[in-house]
Amino acid sequence: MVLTKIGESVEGKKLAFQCRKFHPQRPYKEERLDNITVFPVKLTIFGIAVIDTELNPKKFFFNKSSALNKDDEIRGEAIKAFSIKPIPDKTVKPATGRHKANFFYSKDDTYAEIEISIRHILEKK
Amino acid sequence: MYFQELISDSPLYRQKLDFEPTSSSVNIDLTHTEIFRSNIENIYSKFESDIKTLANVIKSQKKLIEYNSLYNAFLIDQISEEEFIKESENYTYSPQDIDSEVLLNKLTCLFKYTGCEFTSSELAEIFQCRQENIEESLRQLPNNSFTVATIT
Repeated sequence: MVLTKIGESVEGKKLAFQCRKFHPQRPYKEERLDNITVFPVKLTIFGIAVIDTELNPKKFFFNKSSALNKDDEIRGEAIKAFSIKPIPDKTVKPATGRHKANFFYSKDDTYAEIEISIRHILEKK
Repeated sequence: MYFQELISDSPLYRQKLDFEPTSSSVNIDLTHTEIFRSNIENIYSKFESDIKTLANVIKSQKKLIEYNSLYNAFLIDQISEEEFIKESENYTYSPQDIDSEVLLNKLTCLFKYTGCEFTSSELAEIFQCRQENIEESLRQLPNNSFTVATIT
């Protein structure tokens, strides 16, 4: 299932991310997760987040409307995400014939949500 | 005579003295210190809130730059994950609830002076508040401002 609307989200044990621009953001205490520290990142210029490994048990930990199945993905011009562990190294490899993109994986429980949809950008133009 | 009366009335004055060596006259301008001071204070208070907002934004961006350096060190294996987690505590914040009216003023100031575009998660990080607060305040901005404010 591919989700593309603002606010749509995925949650998984391990997510695979792809984007052209990757912005680490400062960690913060997430009140909805008993104030544990989460490590947020923002993906821009066509970001994709795909569930690589499902949560076990398969139950949302942050947003009850999140997609939870393996290979469910969100696509957006801007995606915000956070993981309870720092998101490790990323690998840059060709994404299309012309462009390179960042591919990387989260390590532990991870949440990702569309902040700006691609349609939103097209409508603006 | 007039000069003496003024001085006896209030001891605090600011004076400006213009003296030309070739001239036989001296010009003295007097301004009551209280008036002078209140004018300065009026100007300051008008911009005080904006100055505070922008100073906070600068501090926040400096912290983000420092955190990014730390993150880069982690990515290129200069520091271990444990060290990174420990060090990143210095940059961790707890989002607070900010009144939407107060936040709206801050956002208006930020957009007015910087002209930059931010996503709501970036704004939440800058003002260290919940993203819901940001979204609520953005909705109160005049038409189209919300769109501009959320596009990167």
